[in-house]
Amino acid sequence: MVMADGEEKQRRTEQDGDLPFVRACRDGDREAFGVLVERHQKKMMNTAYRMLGDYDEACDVVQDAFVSAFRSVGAFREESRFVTWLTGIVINHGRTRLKQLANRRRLEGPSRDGMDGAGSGPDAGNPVFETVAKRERSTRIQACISGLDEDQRAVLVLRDIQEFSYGEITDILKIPDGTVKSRLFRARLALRDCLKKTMGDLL
Amino acid sequence: MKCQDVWNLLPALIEEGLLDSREAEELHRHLQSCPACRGILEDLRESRDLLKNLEPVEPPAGFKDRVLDRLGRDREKKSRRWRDLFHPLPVGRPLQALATVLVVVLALTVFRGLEDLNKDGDISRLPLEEAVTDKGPEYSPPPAVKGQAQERRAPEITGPLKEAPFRGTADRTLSQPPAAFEASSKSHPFREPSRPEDRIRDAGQGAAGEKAAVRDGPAAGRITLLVPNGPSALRTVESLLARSGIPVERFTAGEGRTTLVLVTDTGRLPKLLESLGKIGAVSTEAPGPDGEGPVTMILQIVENPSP
Repeated sequence: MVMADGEEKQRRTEQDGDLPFVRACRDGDREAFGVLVERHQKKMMNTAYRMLGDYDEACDVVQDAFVSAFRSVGAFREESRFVTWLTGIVINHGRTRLKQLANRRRLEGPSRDGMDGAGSGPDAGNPVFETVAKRERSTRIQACISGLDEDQRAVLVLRDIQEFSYGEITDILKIPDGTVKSRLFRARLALRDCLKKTMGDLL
Repeated sequence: MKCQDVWNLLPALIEEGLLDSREAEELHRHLQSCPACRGILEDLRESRDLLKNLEPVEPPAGFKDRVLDRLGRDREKKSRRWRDLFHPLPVGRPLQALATVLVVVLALTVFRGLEDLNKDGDISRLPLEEAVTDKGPEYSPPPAVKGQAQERRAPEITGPLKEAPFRGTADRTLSQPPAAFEASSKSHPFREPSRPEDRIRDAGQGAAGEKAAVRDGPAAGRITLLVPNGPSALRTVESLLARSGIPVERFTAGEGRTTLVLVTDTGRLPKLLESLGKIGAVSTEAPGPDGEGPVTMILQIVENPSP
């Protein structure tokens, strides 16, 4: 099983089309990094948005994560896909930001908008592209995701939204495979409970 | 299979291919007979599908450019820090100058270090005081001599004098530095070394010097010869010593002053002093004429035009 995981990892790494650009980045090539930003910005934005539940915060976090990635690209040892490594940076920045936001909320008192955990969305003020019901559903799902504890949320986002493999999630979060599975199960059950409560007729 | 076990396997079940066939078979058997677990499985699938079908968010327009701009600003900030440091000079020049200075300093340091290493065994590295205090096995402190030079003590020979060949006093003393010197030279790596001539001059100028010069050698004394013309007197003295078969080493100690180190037999010393008296004014501090055996004499020829 371990052997198979190792081989799988090696195969994924070898097939990583990002590597030529990553290597150019090590020589300070910002244009090459521009290609990597272009390729992965959407995935990173979605990861951060589902973790944070706030579009503007997600933008800041992903921007910071990309800058960090460029500065520390020398530390990427090509033992996983670049996108896996990059996602780990986004998750770490996201968690740091969540802690800051939690501290701020504690100091400022409870939220006044009544939708704790569901912040600004990219479609706010632009309802033309979505029906009200669809938007409402999306908002409530995001509220349920944001209601999970941080560890469960990370696993859920990485597996069920970003569709990383278990092995890759192990690499990103630096936790054992069994922990990934058990957290994922608990996260899904908690999400189900939350959705049943909050969605009601929208389900 | 219990419900609890089933729950642990449900996430794997909704991911295709994660269960082996035996586990999958057991799980399905349980699910057929357990509506509660079936309900959970349905909920999980529904939740997962909801997540999968979530509308993805798009990054804001110009996001890539913003990231690259920030990288550029970071780089500019770094180089501005250097520029500010050397304002109004362009940063390149001071850096080059700094590098040059560092290279020169490094080269000098290495050169001095090598020079020092080369001189570790050199006679010039011998510190005078340590030479004096490092008593050899054949040397014992001389008794005080009564009379005019009470503070200058004539050394007493305790070693095998007859067997001691002449090797040049300075050479004997200085080319074999005592163990104390090794430690000393290491603890003072950049101490200014003295020249051999200076060492001999010093040796001829005081009781400590004499001790240094004659350490574990034959009995020693000092002769000072004041002459009106140094070079001429030196030639005459050397010729005299050569005729007498007395081995000698010469060191030029400074302007108008030459030091010779010679070994002769104590019995021949009065005759030698007499001959020197014909060349210039002689003053001597020597072992008594009654002594026997070889004696090392430090003969200093000092030019004194108006004696």
